[in-house]
Amino acid sequence: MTAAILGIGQTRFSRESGVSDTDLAIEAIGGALHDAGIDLDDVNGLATYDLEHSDPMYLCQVLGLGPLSWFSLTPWGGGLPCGVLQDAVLAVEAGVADVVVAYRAGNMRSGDRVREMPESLRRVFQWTAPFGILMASEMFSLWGHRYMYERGLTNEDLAVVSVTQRAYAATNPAAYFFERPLTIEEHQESRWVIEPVLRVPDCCLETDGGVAFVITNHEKARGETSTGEGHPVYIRAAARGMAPHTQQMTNYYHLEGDRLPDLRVVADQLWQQSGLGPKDMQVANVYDSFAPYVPMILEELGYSERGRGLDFIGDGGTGLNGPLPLNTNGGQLAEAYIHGFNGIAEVVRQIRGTAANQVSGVVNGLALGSSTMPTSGLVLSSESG
Amino acid sequence: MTTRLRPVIGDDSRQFWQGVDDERLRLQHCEQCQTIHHPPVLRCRECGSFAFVWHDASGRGTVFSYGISRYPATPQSPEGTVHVVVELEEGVRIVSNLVRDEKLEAPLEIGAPVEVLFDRLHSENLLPLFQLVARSNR
Repeated sequence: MTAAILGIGQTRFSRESGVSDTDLAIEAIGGALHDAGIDLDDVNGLATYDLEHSDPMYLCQVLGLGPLSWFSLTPWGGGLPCGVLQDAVLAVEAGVADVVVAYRAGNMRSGDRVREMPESLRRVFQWTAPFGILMASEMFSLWGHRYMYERGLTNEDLAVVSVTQRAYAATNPAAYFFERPLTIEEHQESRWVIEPVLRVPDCCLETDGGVAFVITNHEKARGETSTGEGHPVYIRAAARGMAPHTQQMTNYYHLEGDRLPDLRVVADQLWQQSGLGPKDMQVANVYDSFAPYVPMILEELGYSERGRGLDFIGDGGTGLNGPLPLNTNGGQLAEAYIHGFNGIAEVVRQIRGTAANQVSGVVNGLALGSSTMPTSGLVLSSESG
Repeated sequence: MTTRLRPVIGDDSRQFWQGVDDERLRLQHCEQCQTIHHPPVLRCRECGSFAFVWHDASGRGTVFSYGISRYPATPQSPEGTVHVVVELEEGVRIVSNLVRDEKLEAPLEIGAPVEVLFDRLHSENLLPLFQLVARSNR
């Protein structure tokens, strides 16, 4: 790969930003350009989700961005945050754009929280929506419950996931749960969302905010000096994947309870592209919209034995001194829910050595999109490879 | 209250929902290799055939997974709604709702036996729903 992340920017994470979706996008993008030392007028590529709250064409109208030689809207939401960056990488590598901004922003708490299911998704969800299954918590709990059943796990066993991540958030000033750790007792006293699977702390936050990245080629990255935040972070692998017969969060039909077939398609590509393996990652940030995801992913990637993902976390395996410090910003359970983008930014900070909960000696880091749907991942590094 | 989304009727699903309207739970069988598919497909995942026939299922199965909606409730799934994945005797899994029969003291747990019934739960259309059955009845 010849692409690098030259800058990152993010807004304050809150439950009520008080500003518009567009304002959040502009603030995040401005921060990323400032961090990269790149002028707004040098941007010629723009990538985001098709679910993005701000409108990219409107951004171009009001900011006078461009001319843009490339732009893209990546589909299906949380599976593909790393897919948006992969699109940017491909554009840079193909030479159709030099400086691409990849971003996600919006009032995802105070604004438009639950949208009417668009016609395009009615068919995707045709076997669940008629039964009143419309929210992600309802969809995912049926998968998560089977995983927990096969492992002999209860919701109390699951508490270690959110307790661990709330501890990270407690020392991350950007986190919604800054200075607010959680105990297992408090977890067990919290309200059920889906009984007997998910309580409130087992579910991701809903957040107003934005995160943006500046992606460019190595040549450009070497020529620019970033403003105090350290060196460019190199993209060693960028992959997306869709398993045959995949379902969006509702793949109950053809798998063992713990399998994440879309993630398998992505992980194989990440290791093949980068020439690195799971043990070469000093830090990771995975998509934790619901707590059972975290041990499932650890098992699928081989960081723990099958069925031992929660033990790995409970034994400190994902802590600052463990073999895989994970979701060190507090993750989407405890820092913010920016549809996967804030997790990628955290891996960049860890590699630059600027994270609030800094792991020592980080060279390589892994970022993943949501693993229970068509998904995506990145391997980032301080070394260009 | 009729608030739930109506089923999407397409080439893959038409036979299923027509069956439900007649209070029959029908499953898609590959005409060539007899593999049963649910959700239905347009090409057999085993042999690649595009030819299918539909047969009535027994309507019996076991709870493969479930979740009880507590918070937040929605008009489509009020508080206490039980979402369920049933593993049918035929070997395929189907998503539905579990309707609780208060007179029956059978416990709701993974592995519990269930059988199909047809009703309009928060819907304009009939749905294939499931209820627990006593283990001794089987």
